[in-house]
Amino acid sequence: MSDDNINQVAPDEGDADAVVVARLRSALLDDVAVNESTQAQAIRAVIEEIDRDSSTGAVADLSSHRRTRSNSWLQIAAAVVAVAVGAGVFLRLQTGGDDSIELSIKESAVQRSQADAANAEMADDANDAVGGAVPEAESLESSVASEELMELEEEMALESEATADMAYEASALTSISREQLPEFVNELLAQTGFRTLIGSVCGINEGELLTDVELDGQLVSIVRDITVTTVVAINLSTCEVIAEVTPNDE
Amino acid sequence: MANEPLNDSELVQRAQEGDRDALGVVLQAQYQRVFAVCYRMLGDRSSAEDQSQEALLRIARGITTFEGNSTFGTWCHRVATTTCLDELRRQRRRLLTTSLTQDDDSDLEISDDVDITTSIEWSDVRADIRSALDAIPIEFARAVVMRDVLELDYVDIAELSGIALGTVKSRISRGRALLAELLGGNRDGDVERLTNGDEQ
Repeated sequence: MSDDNINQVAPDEGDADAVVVARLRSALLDDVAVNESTQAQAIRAVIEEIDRDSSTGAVADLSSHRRTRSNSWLQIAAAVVAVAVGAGVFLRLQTGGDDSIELSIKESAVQRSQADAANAEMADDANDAVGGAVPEAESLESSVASEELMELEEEMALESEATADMAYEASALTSISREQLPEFVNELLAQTGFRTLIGSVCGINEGELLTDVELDGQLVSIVRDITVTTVVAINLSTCEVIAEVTPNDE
Repeated sequence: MANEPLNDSELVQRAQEGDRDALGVVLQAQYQRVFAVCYRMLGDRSSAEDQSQEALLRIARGITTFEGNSTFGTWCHRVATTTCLDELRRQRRRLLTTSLTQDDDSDLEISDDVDITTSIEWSDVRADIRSALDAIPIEFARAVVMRDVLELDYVDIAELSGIALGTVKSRISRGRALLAELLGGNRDGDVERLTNGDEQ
């Protein structure tokens, strides 16, 4: 709006702010000249960047991210359950308990089934990931020979290694408390570097994954909505927002 | 009819559908406002150009999430201010880090309440507006510009200025009244009364 147009508006009671604001915006924003070559260069660079995003898939597929997250936890859970199952069987065999092996294995299988009931399909994937270490009840329904006992021991050793590896992976994440979260987020935002765009997710308009972190013992993703200033600590598998931070709102 | 130019919302829709030409036109249409916002917030053209490009990239990446709840220009304005707020926060942290690593103990007193709004100024604007803004206390003028021109939230203004929320509102209210007196000319204002006591 030009100054002339603004002045044609007859100000009346209560209208002054709107007129003043219009004049201020006109002078402080509309009158700012741009360098046309810089403008063209900027737009060209942005389009190229978007093309690169498309071709390289830099914009992360959320479902993939969710799947990875779920698998990580399920791998750990499956490995722990598998070790417990194996240990239970081994103990019974070693101590010569009265219960039949078949019954023990079936009970363990039920326990595993309960633990993974909500994510059975992913748990199977996770089992694959830990080397198919979880003993299948079907394969052990026949009588247990000493050879099989040795195999069980070997499997337990493998499972222990897998569990240790995964525990290390989990412990490699930064561990913070809720009180430390605002400062942690501010430090993240102060850092430059590539961040993964994860698009519209869990009610967030345009999510930008800053990092994963262990918050009060819970694995969460730190995600910012780039169209607003809010940053959330969120479980992307369930969309549960664990905490919300306004940067520098400490 | 085949070559009838597309209107703004049609262009945005095409851009959302992946039409790169439409995206280019949309970005070109928004560039001036985005740059102006960045220039006013950051105070120099070079930084403004860098952050304008960053803001345009965010707009381009996020355009599919624009649902039309506000005008596209308003949405872009908000992305631009968010981008520049991020940059100002980074600058503040660099400033703090630098100060805290110096030997002089007195620098340890610097905290997050440092005012980083001094880049917001208007020495290059046309005379009538400049003289009005210069005629009132600078903190009032900056508060009004941040709120009414740059459309920043009160909380963000308080953070950038290093002052309490109540003080922000007070400054904006008084600044608006003073500027209305000087530019609008339709208020029975008392400049001296309005400038007395910058309290919450």
